[in-house]
Amino acid sequence: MELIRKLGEVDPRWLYVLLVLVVLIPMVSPIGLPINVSAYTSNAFALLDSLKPGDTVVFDFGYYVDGAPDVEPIAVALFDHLFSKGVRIVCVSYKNHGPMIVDKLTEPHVKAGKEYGVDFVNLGFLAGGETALAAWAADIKKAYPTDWKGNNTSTMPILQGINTVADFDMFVFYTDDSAEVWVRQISQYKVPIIGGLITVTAPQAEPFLQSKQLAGLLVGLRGAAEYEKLMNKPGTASAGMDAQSMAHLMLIAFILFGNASYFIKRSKGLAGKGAAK
Amino acid sequence: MSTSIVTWVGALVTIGAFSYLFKENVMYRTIEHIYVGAAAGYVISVGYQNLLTKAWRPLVNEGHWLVIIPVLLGLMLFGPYFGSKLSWTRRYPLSLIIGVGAGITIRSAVIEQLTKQLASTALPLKTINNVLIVAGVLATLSYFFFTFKPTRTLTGVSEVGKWVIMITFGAAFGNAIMGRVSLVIGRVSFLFGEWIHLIKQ
Amino acid sequence: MKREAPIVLAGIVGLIQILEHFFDFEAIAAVTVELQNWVIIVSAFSLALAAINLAINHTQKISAKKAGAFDSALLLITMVFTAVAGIFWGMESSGFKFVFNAIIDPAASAFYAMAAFHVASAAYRAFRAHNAHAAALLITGVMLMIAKAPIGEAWFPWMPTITNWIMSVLNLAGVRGIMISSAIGMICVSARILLGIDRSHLGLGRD
Repeated sequence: MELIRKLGEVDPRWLYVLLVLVVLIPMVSPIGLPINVSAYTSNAFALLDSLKPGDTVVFDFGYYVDGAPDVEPIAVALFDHLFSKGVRIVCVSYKNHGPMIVDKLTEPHVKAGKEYGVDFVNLGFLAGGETALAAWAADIKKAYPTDWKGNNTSTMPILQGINTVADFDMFVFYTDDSAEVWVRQISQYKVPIIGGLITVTAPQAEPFLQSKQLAGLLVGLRGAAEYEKLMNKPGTASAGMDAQSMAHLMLIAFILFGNASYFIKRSKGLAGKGAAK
Repeated sequence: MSTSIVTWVGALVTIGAFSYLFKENVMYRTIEHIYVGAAAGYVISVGYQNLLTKAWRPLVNEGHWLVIIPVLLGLMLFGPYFGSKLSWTRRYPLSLIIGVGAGITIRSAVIEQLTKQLASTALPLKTINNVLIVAGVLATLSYFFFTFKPTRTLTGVSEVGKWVIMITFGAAFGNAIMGRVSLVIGRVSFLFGEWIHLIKQ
Repeated sequence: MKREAPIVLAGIVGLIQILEHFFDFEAIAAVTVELQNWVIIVSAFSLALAAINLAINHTQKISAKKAGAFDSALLLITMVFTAVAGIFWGMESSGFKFVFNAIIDPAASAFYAMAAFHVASAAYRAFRAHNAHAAALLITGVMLMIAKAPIGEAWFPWMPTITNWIMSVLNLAGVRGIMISSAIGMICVSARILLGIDRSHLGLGRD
């Protein structure tokens, strides 16, 4: 009992070191725990897999690089999947880091032979938040007279026949925020919307899935790992899943331990009802 | 070990930022300031790029004279820097941004967030799940009734709402922890994989 | 006039956005999109505002030789370098890409990831089941953490079924209730702005 109480007062810096080790060890020597695919991911995969060569899809990058480790693996997997199917991708950015992220993610595909302006385009970022999203959704070439590199969009092969967001075959957004903005501005155009969300905001998107305002949902690193499994192409997300397991176990142990320590203290009258320690 | 200068600088920046977890120190402060400066410079570049695409080129290359109006409004944002007598100039561009934003919010929130969500809650009460969803939504809404004095019944219903909200927050809490762990995985993967190649990529 | 005109302007441009949604007139649609594009241009100018304020603040710090003047100088140098690289060499230049990939990306990621360490510490010290409500929150969270980790699924194969039910029924009800409430709040705030009742965003009364 005394030990549990004392461990409850350990210096947090030891916990930080422990967290790094718990994440690092399974990444150095993977355990290879099986990953089960959730209904969310399999539904989204089925929708994206139904796209045909020549179809055009929007990828809207609504995250900053700080949230990238959780959401970017989804984008990486979807680029691989859709490019392998011959689907064309129009990249726009809701947040200002977007254009640089698109540049980085499309680089390997350019090396593999994908042609800029034909197979994909990086339209860049527009200031103005939700208003900018509404503007380009209503008239893409007016909002984006040129792409990120300064090329004229009206003559660009990939954008021929595309005027509003309704002309796309699917709309995919990646965000470290909630899905509300996209549902508010894009849902009215009746284009199927798939959200690639950071894990933190995923619960908030649940009502949109039930109301069918979102056609599919891919959530965080875990969602990306499941998607990689469905593609039969394990990547960075799958590699991180063992580490995720171990870190979760550690944090659950911390919560249980912290509570045990708290209740022992409380039973001895050492902690007030509202005391944090 | 990586031979890329970008990776090396990135690793030093990462270590410097993480060093704060142990103690506030010079390396952390330096990196913090460099980062804020770079981020501000980045935003300036992005703003310039937007102006080039949306204002300068349409005006000069295509003769779209109408863009002079938003450009003037944009310049009016800087009025207060030239004296407090010009502080009024900022109100007009702000009015445009906020007026359009409020209009867009009203029209889309009413339909996409209010009507459609209410319509999706009107489920046939044939299954336990449907009953729970309908009751849960109503109980949660009752918790946010602040405009009138609660009756005994309302207090009881809002107590149920409080439980539903706690479970909702619990789901958010679990997901939040999971998301944060993913971010550490990203950094550990960068330091021990991309930088020192201890993790096989 | 200086006070009323901005309020009227906000009301008119907001009303046009609303009308466009309900009336199928090409002219209104064209004006709506034009106004939205104007907002993009004005917002692009506004991006510089924060940077200018930051620059003024740190320049004052340097000239007053306050503590941290060296850090402020570093900030200004990096800001100017990045802005110059982006504007004159272009955002696809190697100099600009270097700043983004070697400084902004790792620093932002590291700062954000630091939250995980604080979460670990909080899990140990602060996440307490003080009462039944807190216990419900904690139990739901822990169940989700178990279900979403492959090792949790392997040990408790029934857990994902329960957490999926929690997510799609109880969580859905809670989030929807909050969402509807916040939508009502958002609509009210927007209406107050368009009607000129709420003027705080214009800084009125502080002339």
